[in-house]
Amino acid sequence: MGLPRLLIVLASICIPRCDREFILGDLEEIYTTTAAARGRVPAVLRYAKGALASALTLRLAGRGRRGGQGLGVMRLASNYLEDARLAFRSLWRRPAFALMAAGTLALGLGSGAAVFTMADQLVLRPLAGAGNARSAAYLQLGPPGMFAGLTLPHFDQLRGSATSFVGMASYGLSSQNVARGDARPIGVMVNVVYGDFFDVLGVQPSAGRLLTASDTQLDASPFVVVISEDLRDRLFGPTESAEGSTVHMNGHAMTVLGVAGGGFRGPERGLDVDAWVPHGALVPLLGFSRDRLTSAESAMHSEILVLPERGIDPDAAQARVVGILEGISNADPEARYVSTLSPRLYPGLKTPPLARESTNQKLRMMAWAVIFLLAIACANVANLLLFRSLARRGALATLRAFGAPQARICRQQIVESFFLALLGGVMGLVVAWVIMLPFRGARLGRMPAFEGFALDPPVLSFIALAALVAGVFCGAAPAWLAARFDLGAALRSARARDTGRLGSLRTLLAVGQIAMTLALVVGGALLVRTLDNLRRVETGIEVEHIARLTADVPTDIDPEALHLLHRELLGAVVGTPGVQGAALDVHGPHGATFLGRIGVSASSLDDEAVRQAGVYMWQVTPGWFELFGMDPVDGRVFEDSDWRAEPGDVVVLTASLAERLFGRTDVVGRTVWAGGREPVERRVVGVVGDYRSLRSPSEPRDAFFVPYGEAPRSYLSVFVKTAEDDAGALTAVRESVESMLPGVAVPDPVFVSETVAEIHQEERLLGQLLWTLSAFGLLMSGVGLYGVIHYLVLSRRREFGIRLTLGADQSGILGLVGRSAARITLAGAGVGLAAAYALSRVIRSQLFGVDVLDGVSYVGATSLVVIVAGLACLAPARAALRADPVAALRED
Amino acid sequence: MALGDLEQVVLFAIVRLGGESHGAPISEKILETTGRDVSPGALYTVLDRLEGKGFVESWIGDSAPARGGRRRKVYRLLPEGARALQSWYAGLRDLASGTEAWLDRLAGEVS
Repeated sequence: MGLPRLLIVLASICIPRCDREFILGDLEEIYTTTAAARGRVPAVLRYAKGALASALTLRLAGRGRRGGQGLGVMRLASNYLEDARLAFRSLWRRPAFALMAAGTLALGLGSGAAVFTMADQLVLRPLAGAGNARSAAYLQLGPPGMFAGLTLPHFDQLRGSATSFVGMASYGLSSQNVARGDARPIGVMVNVVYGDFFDVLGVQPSAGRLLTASDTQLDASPFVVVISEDLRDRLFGPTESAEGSTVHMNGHAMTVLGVAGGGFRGPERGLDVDAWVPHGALVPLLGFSRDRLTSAESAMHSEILVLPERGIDPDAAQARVVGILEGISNADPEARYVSTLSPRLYPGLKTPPLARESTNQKLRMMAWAVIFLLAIACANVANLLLFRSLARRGALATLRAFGAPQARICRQQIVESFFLALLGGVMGLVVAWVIMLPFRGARLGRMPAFEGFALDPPVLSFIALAALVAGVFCGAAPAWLAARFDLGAALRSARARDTGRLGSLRTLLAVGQIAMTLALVVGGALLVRTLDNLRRVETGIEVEHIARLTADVPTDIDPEALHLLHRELLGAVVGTPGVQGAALDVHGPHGATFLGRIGVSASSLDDEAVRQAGVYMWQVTPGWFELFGMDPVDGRVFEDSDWRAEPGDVVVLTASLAERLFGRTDVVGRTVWAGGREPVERRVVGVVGDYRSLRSPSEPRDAFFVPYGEAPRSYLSVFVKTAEDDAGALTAVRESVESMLPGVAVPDPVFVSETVAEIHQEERLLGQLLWTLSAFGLLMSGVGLYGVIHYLVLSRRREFGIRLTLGADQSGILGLVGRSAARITLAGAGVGLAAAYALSRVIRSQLFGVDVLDGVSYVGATSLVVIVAGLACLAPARAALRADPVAALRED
Repeated sequence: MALGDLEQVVLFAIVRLGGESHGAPISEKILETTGRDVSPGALYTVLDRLEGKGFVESWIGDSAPARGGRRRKVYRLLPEGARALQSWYAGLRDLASGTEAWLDRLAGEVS
């Protein structure tokens, strides 16, 4: 087997001219003897090593150029500067070509930079202020999204026994009103923490001190708080110190221990937490009884953070946790629930477990789209450069004839393509900024909002690296051509001809572009169809003109007084002029929901199948069903008499749940056991239509309704329907709620339809991004195909001219051009359909109501690509018809 | 004139190759006898220096298919080079004489 030609070309580029012939000869001789003695691979490796070492030695010794010794590195630099100058001059002389090629690369590199920015903001950046963000881990006790926790005594047992971890802490999330003095309260997110939370995360205080493990014990004072720097600035201003001061949280005086430094906003990206309180603060803030915090019924330690011992394998640490939980479960009859837990360690605090899989999946999808687009851009620019080097064959031949070395010409090609890539990179920054505009402030699921495009070091490094790679890819084909340059043939015919291997290469590049574009367009079409289907989903609930107002309510009053307050509040809202209807609910439709338990008997409550289905439990006031247009299909909905201070004995089921429980929907009068923590016996008074959740609308979501106010909640939501989003009526509602809840800030109302739009935002943004990339791809493929066909026509101009002269009709010539274009388009479409199938499998989880092999998307996308290909051929076809044989012959 | 470490090795390799040779066999000889893989670039830098000192002379030789049709640069040891090598080697021999037993003993102790 011979020595790879590419290796020889690379070696001849690297090794200085002075001894190149002898060194290359020696290297090849050594290659031959090594290959005979030890085989081809060691011989190739020795050749490469020898060539690289020779190049470095000679260049550093200053033997790169005539004149001999010293300053080799300087000479090396000046050599490349000269190449750069020549490349710049060559591009400067053809600005249209340079702008077209750089613009093409800019689309690819800019899209890449935009997606990289998203990835950087979503997962790559370390969690602000958490020094242990890389080494710490999330410990989940059940599948992401399913609540699975430990009681306080069992969590303590786990903490004490898990020696694989340096530290362990649990945290929960709550929203609270915080105020300083008489100032208007601010609504903030609060972490309720237990254990050495700040030590596990490696957070340092910027003032005062942080909560320690002993501060979070139940016997310590619950009236202490650590605040974020942001909240400190909002409450105290940037100059006043906060530590030791008193703030009021839901009316309770809390002492500020210190301020978490480094911009720390909690252990989960995207949930901007502003305050951290000890576990015991649940008693005053949320009205929990102290017994409940330690009771065996209350397995609330579900969000756990751990700091593993240095060097410990995550799997081994996870196995240790499983072992400890098994021990706890076996030793204590009350801990049988522990055996149902399935602990899993998620190393690194990049993305919380719940969002990890879906975020990575979306980023993977976008990365693939960008790789496709960059490949299309590189293929396009390589094609343009090939086109140009063909046009410059005559000039190159003259250079070679005057003794310009082949390696130098190769190198110049590469430098020229680097120049283009650099220019493309700079222009790409603008493209990235434009792509990111609609993403600014938008969120993908629970992840943090995008900040828009910023020129920070990671993004600049990415685009520089991507430009470098693109430069190599674009320049490889023209450099390869220069390496195989046949001086004799070129001098015989200085006129460009698209022949043999070169023609095939250009055709192959065009086929690749069309294939990748088709895949992108199919992906975009599938997501657009998904979005369309999601918009048309009948959820069973009407949300038009319904706004939601949220407010904190006191927890330290007795249930009867709370019930009266709720009634009074709802009465005031309903009585406000312009209000067409109102109801109370804890969360409302399409938002967070309580999971309840329901069974036809007390013993069937633990039915695994029902629990896995995640039955929604809604606590609603009379009027809720009328407000949201949920009519009964059997029986009735709640009446005023059903809403009482004590737990009620009635329930309304959705049709799908009635079907699941009883196998029929006419179940009024039947008895079920239903509720949240403690289900009670209830009589079914009515069945309403199905409810479909917007996030997974493929199947109806089982749900049941109980009268409002069964458990005291620290907050409530008022849903108000006005005529045509009447802003005046909403302001009046807000003022009347505020007047009834002194000291409570009621945020601006949010329309439920906005929540729905937010839920669809993810698909909309992804679809928009894929469409933008597809449009770029279509544009580039069109240009690429135009280049190939245009060149084909140029090289066959004489033939076309003669045919026309001999009487061939125009349709015959058009047929010749059309057949060439059709061959390329069909080959591209064939490969593209396969690539599209692979891409649609990657985005399968994002699709709704659309098959991976959706005919409309595939046929539509293919038609679009064929139309663009057709348009790209129009100008070359016209040129073919105008071919003049005399002019063509004269050129030869 | 003093000889560098690699210069001595290269000169000895040329002597072992019959007094004249080109890059590839010199590299192979050095690898075979000392285990040192000297790249052609480094070798030509050394040979260039030796030629400057008048220890070797060079000329362009013929081409060969095994070299991809490229010509070779042949180096021959000159009397001045032979004398320098001889004198350096004699000095080394003087320096080393009588140390063998001691070296053997020390090497034995260490092992």
